[in-house]
Amino acid sequence: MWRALRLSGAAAAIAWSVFPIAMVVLSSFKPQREIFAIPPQLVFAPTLDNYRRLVTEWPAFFPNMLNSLIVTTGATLLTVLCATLAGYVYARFRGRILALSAFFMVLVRMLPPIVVTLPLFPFFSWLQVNDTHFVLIVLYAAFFVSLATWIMRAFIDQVPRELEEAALVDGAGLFQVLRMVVLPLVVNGVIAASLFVIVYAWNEFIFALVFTTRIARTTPLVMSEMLSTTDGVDWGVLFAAATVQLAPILAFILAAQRYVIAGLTAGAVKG
Amino acid sequence: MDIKRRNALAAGTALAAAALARPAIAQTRKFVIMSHAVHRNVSTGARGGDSTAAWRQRNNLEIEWLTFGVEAVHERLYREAQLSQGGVDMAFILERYGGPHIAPLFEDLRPYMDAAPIEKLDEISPSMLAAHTYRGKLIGIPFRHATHGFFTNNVMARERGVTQVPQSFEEVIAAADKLTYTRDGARVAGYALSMDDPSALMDIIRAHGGDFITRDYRFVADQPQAVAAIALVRDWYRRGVLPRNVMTFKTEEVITAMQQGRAALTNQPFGRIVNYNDPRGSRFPGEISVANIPMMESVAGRKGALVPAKTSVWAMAIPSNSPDKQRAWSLIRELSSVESTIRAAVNGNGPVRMSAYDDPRVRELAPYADLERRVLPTAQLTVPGFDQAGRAMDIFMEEVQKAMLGAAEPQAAMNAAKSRIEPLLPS
Amino acid sequence: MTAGAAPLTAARPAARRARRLPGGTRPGASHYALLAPAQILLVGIILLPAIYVAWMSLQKVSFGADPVFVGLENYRALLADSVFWRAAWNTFLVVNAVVYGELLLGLGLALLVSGWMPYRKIVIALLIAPYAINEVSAVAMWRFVLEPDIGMVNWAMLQIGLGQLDWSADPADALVLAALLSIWIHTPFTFLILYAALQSVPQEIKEAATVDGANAWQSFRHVTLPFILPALLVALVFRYITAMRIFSEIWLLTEGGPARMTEVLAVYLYRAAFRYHEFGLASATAFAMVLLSLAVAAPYLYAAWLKMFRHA
Repeated sequence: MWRALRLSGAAAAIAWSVFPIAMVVLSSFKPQREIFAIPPQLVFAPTLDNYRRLVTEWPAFFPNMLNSLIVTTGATLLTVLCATLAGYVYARFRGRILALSAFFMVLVRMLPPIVVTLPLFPFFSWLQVNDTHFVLIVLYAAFFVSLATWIMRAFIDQVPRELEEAALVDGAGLFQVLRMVVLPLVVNGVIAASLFVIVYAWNEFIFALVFTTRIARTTPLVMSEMLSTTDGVDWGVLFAAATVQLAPILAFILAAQRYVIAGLTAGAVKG
Repeated sequence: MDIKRRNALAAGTALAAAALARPAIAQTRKFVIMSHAVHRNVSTGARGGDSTAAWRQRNNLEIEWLTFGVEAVHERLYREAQLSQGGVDMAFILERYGGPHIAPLFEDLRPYMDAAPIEKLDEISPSMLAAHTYRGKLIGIPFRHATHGFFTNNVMARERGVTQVPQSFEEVIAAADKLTYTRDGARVAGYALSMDDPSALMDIIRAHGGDFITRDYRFVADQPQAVAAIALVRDWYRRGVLPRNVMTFKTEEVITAMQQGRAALTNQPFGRIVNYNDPRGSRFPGEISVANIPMMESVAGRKGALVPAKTSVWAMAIPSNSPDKQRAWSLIRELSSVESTIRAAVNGNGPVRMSAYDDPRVRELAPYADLERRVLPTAQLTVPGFDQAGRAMDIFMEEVQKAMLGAAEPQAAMNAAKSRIEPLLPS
Repeated sequence: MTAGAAPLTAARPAARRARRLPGGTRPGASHYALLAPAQILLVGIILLPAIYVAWMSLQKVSFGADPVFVGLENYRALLADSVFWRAAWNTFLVVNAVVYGELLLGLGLALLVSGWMPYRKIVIALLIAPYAINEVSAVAMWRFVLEPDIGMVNWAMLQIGLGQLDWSADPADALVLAALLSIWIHTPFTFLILYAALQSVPQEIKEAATVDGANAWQSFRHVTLPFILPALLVALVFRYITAMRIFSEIWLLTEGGPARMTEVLAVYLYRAAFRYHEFGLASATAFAMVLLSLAVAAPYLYAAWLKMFRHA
């Protein structure tokens, strides 16, 4: 009885989280006129028509997905690089200045991102970098470097410092120690830290809306345009686009599930 | 430290590679136009022909159309035009989103005109040019006027016994009531209205003899005529004559509603007849017709009087930071030529040259040409241009929607609109 | 290592405390250099712009024109604008609904999954799937199933006589949908934090409580809850702060309409800046949001401050 209750609870919870996703993925293989068929049809002849039209009618979609890929990669590299360096210092050293700077890192995390769009828009314009991948990379990194630093600090904390000391005695420099000794032991931390940036950068909407128009436009932005076109929403194409956009990131999250838990514990709860 | 440099170098290279990946995508420079989709469609449409083809071939240059919704295109364009280095070569702007405050973002076109004039400029009406002139600075060459007509779904009209084209707005109201019904299990709304700005509402207000902001910048929507129109819209909304989600309707949603038969009547630009009857998107191809919008008989004193229909003027402009101003001007000249105007009119554009209405191709393919020409001399802009026009229109719509939702009585809502909008008006 | 640097400052109490800790080494110049990239990002991209916003909120700024100092005029205009108050009120409602809805749901799911559960890993994977979905897709998904009259959920609700969620016409329903959407996307975050916290509850204590005759509720109330309380509070504060930023859900559903009745603070800010080009007013809104965020975060920040300087 108790178990049956638990199982039905789990079933309801899974339905809640998976139903909208499943509907969209399924509908992306439906012919246009059947998408809104009532009652909804679960059995239908699947078609790739929506995907074909995605390619022909939205030629910008795949180049924009490449933009997303570039921005996500860039932001992840930048974040992890900065976070590993800083996380190492916070894990290994103590002092008032460090405490103050660490507090500052936590503090700025509280500021709403939309706030910085106002001054940064003219500033990036002055630097002539509006509508470039660079802008998004730097923005995304700035908003995630603090969480990532906390994750890296937690992981580096667990690396026995004797190993470093041994290397230092052998005459290695600080960067050699970091690269040869510490980094290989905190790969899990790097994955956990990257994960959050990757999901964020791949899906981010508001910075992309404000700072990109054409050249660096990312996938969520094209999709928002599909939601408001002259001829009404072409749901089939939109669903095809959504499926293409979410498939890789969903697979990634599911595969890296345990790192999400580790990262959240290290970055949010302990920080 | 040597390693540090190498690391920094590696990171730097990764970043630089990411940033430089940009030209790899846009290998050949394209000429970028920012506009609403309708401009691309009428400029390159198959029915009348592609007016950009010869220009593209001559310049050996492809055009990239960046199209957005009406509000979004201005929001984005003005933001782009502020940048020190722009990416948009040419743009289409609508007078009611203009104003002296945006004039500095665009080129003054008079020197361009002196150097390379536009064909038969005197055919373009001075009032249309004036709509895009601020303190003597001309920032846009008129390309399209969107003047409203009255559309009817004839299949539904026949089903509901609406046999005559309404000769008074009272008849429009009666027809809208009849056409609010259930068809094949789906609800049909008698009337569809775009509500993202006041342009569609203006026809209903003017049919009642009212107005919103007069040409001498007086707020008059609190007068009984306009209030009566708002009360009608509220009544329509409550009784389901307007679709339940009408408050989210932009032009795009009106098109879908008409194409799908979710609404039977609407007032929209004449050229939309092409979309409504488009066999690819419409469930009623060839069955949606257009007429002039009639006045209230009780106001005009007779049947058959025409509403001074709402018109708006889209113009071609060159952002001050356009990378290719000379080419932009040459394309503007190309698109505003007599021949291009005719081609675009056949594609469903509202031609800014009266002579286009005499062309046999236009007369054949745009059967509404005479109707449109009839109303054009009295047609009126939504609001006269001023700095805060966008804000004033938003406040107005906000108060109208409040009245529709029942949060305020129409008169009270308009009084509130008056007290909020009057401080914004130029004195 | 620990002793190596400490004697220099041994007289100071902080240093004495630091010496007791295994990681209490004083950093050198090269270590500060390692902090530089992260700190430069934060200062350059977040702190300085935030300060600049505060300055801008005291100016009248528009295209091409030089800013003019107007003192607190923008704040006066902001406080006098009924739309701002509505946006603030909507934000308040949505944020509270979202945060507590999520907390309850997340806690329920965490308790469910950490108890007896076959295929636990797969169940967790399915529950966190919404985390991977971008807001545009999420809005599309929910709009699709809740399209007036024809969306399948609205259709089903109509069939069983529940009436439909009339988000496109009714401002209240639109806010409900935005809140639902937000809960849907962000529950995985709360769920995972609480799930991880539950894993740290020592099994022996729970068992001891059961042996002593505690029922499920008593065991939860007196054993589990105290253990996960810190995580619960962290999730609460974090979600308060991030929920206050809500933008895309509303923007993509209604753009704040009808009648600007569904605007939230971020949408109000976006409109002021990018539609009306009133950067002063937008900056005042932005700064108000900053102050609000900091106020909500104050307890968390205070705890962080204490903890960091205890170890300093």
